[in-house]
Amino acid sequence: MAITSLSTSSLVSGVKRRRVWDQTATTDGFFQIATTTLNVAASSITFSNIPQDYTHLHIRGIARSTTAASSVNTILRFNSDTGANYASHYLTGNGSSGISGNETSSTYIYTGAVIASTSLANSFEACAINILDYSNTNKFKTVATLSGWDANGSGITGLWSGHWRSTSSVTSIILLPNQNNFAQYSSFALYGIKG
Amino acid sequence: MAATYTPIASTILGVNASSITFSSIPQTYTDLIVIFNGRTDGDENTNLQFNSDTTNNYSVTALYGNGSTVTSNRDSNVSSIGLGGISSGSDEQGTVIVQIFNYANTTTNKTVISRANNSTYVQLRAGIRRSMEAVSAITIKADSTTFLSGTTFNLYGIQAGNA
Repeated sequence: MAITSLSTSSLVSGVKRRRVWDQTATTDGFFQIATTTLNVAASSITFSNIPQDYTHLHIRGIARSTTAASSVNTILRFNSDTGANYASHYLTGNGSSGISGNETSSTYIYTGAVIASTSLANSFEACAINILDYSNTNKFKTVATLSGWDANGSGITGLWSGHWRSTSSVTSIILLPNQNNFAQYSSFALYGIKG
Repeated sequence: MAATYTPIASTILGVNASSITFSSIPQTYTDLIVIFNGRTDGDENTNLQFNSDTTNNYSVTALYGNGSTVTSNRDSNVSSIGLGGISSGSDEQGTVIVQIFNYANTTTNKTVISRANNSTYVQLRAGIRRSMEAVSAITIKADSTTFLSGTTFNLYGIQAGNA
């Protein structure tokens, strides 16, 4: 039997509520899940036991690396999978030229370039990471990131995309710099999007 | 889990204006999003200042494509963060989306990432204000021109969940 959606919508306190055909009330929107802010430097940040009842995930963060360099890359893995099941593409600008590249059969997804310890003090990279259909078990998982930092004379901005060749639902996410640690005050927040 | 991405303020210009300021911004969110859509009557470039700071405490790195080439450049020691252009065309509307991270903390310089889209190009930008002061006011300015009547400005707040 085909089911036709009989929905009505209303706006209550800024949150869209939808009553679907069986009168089950659902709430669409952008929801807080978890936040980690580092009081001391740490090698990674992990979100685990991620609820499976959202459509997409969104991570917003600021980060800095303790590595003695101007910047290093940030990387992401799902479900503790360290196999060569990932790939990435990127388009970045460094203040003088645009650069595009890719990495295939890698053990991580690139999610941006993070400012490091020889660059301007107290300055952090900012990133917004989207993870689409993370709980869908019929698809490989796609990640899209907008990220950048500037240090008054140096900086990188750009887009990064990646995929994980797995149909497993994403239940945990680890973010880490590809060298050394995230610095104190690095902070990442995980959100869920419904609707 | 609590909903967030909350509208804070919005304005539709009734008359042309060279700038708009969101002031007395609540300090209860984690990040701010400013979205504006419309056009100017001349130079389409726009820029941003925090807390009425007009000194050379800002810098920005840009990446843009115009349909045939990709270019990157940088402005250092400048008096605002360049956000890129909206539109100066006769009936074209451009959109700029600005993300301001951890604006209320007093432990980091303030980083902004933004994208600007119009019929000429798309731009990505990362900028910074070299100040750890919390952001309580945001001014969006048209570069040597005015935003035209009908241009819309929206400010949203995103509050992170519990640590």
